[in-house]
Amino acid sequence: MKNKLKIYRITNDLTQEQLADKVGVSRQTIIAIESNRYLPSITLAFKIANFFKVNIEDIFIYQPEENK
Amino acid sequence: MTYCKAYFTILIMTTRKYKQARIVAIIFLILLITVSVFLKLHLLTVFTILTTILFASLVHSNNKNIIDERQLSIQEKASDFTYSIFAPTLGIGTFILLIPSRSGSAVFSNGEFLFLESLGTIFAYLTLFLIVLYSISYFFLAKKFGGKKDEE
Repeated sequence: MKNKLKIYRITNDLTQEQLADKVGVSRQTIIAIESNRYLPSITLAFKIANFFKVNIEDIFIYQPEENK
Repeated sequence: MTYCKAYFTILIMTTRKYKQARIVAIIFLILLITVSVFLKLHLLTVFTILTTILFASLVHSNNKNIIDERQLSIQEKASDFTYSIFAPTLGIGTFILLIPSRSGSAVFSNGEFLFLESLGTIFAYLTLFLIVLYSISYFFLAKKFGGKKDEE
């Protein structure tokens, strides 16, 4: 799973701390998601997508070959 | 069903409960240090102090004390990892301690190492307790997350 969270965050002129506050998680979680070290739950992925007013698949890109 | 709900309410980790769990663990460690010093169990004192240092430095609360899903995921994995090491260690330890004490070997036959048999028995009970605890947790969690055979 790839994601464009960092791009969306920077485009919206937000710090990791601000985004974390907006979606109700810790800054470490945002760091982990941006660096692809943590896969968010569907709920958190929707929260993030809703916050940026985009579809979930605009931010999170599923790559099936990773499961093989 | 009410008991089931109450059980899971206890399990849900909030920031407050996380802090409380940390405090309980630290109180336990401090009490253990006190008791071990009082009973002059020097090795236990050293290990307890080392454990306290390790716990305080590694399991620190994050800056804003937010218990989010990542934190819960880390706790889940840490518990899983701990269980997968601790349970077999206790189980294997039980046999290692119990079997030689009754094998009639020269070392054990004079009764000098009788405490090892007691320790093995304690390990056995702890292993049984872990198995029971795991079975009950598994049963309730399987119920909570559904997936019954007759369900569509």
